[in-house]
Amino acid sequence: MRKSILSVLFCCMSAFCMWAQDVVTVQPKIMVIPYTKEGEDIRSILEQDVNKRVTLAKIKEAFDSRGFTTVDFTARLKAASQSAVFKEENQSDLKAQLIELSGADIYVEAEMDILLSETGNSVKVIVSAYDISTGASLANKVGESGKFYTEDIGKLASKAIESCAEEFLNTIQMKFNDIVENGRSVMINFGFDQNSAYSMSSEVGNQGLQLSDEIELWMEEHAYKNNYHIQGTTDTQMIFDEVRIPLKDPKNQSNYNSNKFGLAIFKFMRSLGLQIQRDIKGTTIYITIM
Amino acid sequence: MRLMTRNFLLLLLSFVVFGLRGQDKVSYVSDGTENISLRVLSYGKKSKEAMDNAEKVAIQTILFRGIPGSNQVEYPMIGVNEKEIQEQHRVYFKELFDKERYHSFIISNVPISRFEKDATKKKRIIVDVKVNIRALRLDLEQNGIIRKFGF
Repeated sequence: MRKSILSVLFCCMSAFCMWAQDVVTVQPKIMVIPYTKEGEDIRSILEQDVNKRVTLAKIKEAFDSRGFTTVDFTARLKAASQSAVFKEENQSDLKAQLIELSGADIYVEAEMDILLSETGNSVKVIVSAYDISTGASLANKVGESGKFYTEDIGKLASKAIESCAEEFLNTIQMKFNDIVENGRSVMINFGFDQNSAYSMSSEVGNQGLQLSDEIELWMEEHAYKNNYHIQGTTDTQMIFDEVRIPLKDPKNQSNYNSNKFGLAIFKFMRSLGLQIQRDIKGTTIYITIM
Repeated sequence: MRLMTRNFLLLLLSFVVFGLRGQDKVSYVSDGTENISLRVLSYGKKSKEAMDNAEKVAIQTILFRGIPGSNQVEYPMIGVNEKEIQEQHRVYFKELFDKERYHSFIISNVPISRFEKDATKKKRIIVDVKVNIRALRLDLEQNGIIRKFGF
């Protein structure tokens, strides 16, 4: 009797543990921003043009309808405007910095083209999604409102977005499915401190291999499903423009991110007897060898 | 000899059964707000059977084939390997197709032709079927058949 009670209790505990291990994956942060030409003020563009605000709102609405919340661009913009960091910079830098500071993993850029004619007005919307760390294009769609005898450009912009939003989200989702299957991309930049005694051709470790070879062998072993790409190697730098890392740690199923991969690199470099400095910006890892 | 006759009769019967029924066809009509309108050419022995079949075929096409030209389901909502997918989620698909749960995702079902024989003497009807895409997607997500938006 006692044995059966204990076995039931054990089963319940095991089931509870299995349930507790079901970690929810951290979702990517997506920010929707307006397209700006060179020299255009991203701050005034939205404030002056209600139609562009309508376009952005409609795109965010499409994400919401799939139960996905986007990073609020307007709020980030206001916060950025109050920051002294941005005041001296030009507009194109402001946009780049805003994307970087938002903490977003993906940004969606929306461009609107208004076509006025005697046979009716129409709006064309171009939406593009990019992975911030690698710059890879995730999805691109063009939506058209069709011609209508109306001057309500906002309404036409809504129609244009509606005509392509679902397809756009479906394409992004296909890329997400690929990430789930093959891991997410990070960029890794190995460089040297000015006073460093090492270079990529220095012999390190027990096997007497060059540092660049040691790094590549390690990357081959640790990149998810052996998936990595070297942009280039010089004596002073080695850039991996794409290294796939898993979404979840295969050992304990906890969330895995670029920070943890950076830690793994740190441990590897220490095993080679090298001192490094790690900087991580979003999904880009900078390794400086001291 | 008896076995051969039985096999021959079974073969003949299967030809007759398949011969009575043509290949259902689905074409895109329009996208609505979270719904899609499809025109389905559906076969069946009786009018009701052909109408019901039109709904089933519309759902199957959305799930396993996709609708070219559509904004909402240009690609299959689940995947093209329907046999493997249905095997993997047997309970869900038994409920959806065998127990006819697919009817609940249909907004409207309007015949636009009479139930009549086609050029090959097979009985068919043309039906405009409107499908609630949002509800269908949510149902698939909640039952773990497809992933929610995101990772």
